Amino acid sequence: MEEIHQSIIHQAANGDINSFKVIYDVMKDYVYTVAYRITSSREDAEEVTQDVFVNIYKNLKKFKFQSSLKTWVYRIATNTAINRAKKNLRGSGREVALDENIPLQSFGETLTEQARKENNEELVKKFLDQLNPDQRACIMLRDSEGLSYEEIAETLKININTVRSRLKRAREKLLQATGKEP
Amino acid sequence: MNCHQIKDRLSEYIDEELDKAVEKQVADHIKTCSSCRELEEFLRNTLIKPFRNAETLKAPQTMWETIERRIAEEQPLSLTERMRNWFDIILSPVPAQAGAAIIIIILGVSSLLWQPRKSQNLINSYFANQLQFFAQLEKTGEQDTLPVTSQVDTTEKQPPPQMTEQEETFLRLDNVNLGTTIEQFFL
Repeated sequence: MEEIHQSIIHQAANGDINSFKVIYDVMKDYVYTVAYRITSSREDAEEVTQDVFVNIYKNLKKFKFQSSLKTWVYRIATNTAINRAKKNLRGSGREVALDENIPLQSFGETLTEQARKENNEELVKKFLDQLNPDQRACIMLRDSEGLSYEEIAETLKININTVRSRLKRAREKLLQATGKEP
Repeated sequence: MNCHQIKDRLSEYIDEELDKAVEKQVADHIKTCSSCRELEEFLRNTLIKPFRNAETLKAPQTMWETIERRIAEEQPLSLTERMRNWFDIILSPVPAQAGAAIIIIILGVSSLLWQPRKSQNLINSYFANQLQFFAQLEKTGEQDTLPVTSQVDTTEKQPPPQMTEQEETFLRLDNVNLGTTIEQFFL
């Protein structure tokens, strides 16, 4: 993700919609991806992304530059997506279903690049479907975004030991789902 | 450390979040234990790698238009705009049905307020009776006789109560004043 100059942020904070569009263009795909991975629905991801950017625009004046804009946006995006996913779970009245047998045989050397990408995407979705929204957020921030435990704790405003245990339990669930561990 | 303890720390080991001393213990164990090494490779290559390889998705093209519209809608109005909106509301013609409804409500409430209350009627009649009684008493005093009924034996007439002039004046004034005051208050 390319860096955004501070003057652009200041102008956007003062209501300049064109400057805000610059921020949007840099961050929209990231926010949409996080929202989709956590909510597991294109429709929800779209609504979450809209909510996130409307919130960012309204609150940009409160941004103090103590952390990077990227971290600030991470925080708003992941928390908005987690809330939406939890609300959906409460609405459906069901817990996350555990799929006992996620097939892993489709990873072969002979696949084309496009097919390999599609398979990978499908597998990521199946893995995330095994996890609750909090675990999904931690796995996303750690394994996809490469954040340290401390950065994840800071982003989600939770204790570092909570990050530790959420990641550990998430991976244990995935081990079970792939039949590797009982 | 045994295999169970090692497996418990594999997640943090892969994420490089263990203390250096513990990390070394895990690394040494994995070199010699094929079961733990296999699990560590499975975690890295099968469970974590897909997330690292996952591509960033493309946000839908039309999303900016929606966001821009929402921002415009949720934008707080300036003072001038708010005042203009208030004037628009005040000066806008009230629909005939709404006007009629308001008039009916006002008339209904007014008629309810103007109805004499039952308790007020009772008080009025009580004081009217009292005034009548004292007026009769005064009249009787002037005639030196008490009002009589058919049941009273007129042969045994009692002497009329004698009042001084001062007492008489006080009684008259008191009754009239009290009645007037009460009537003014309640009627």
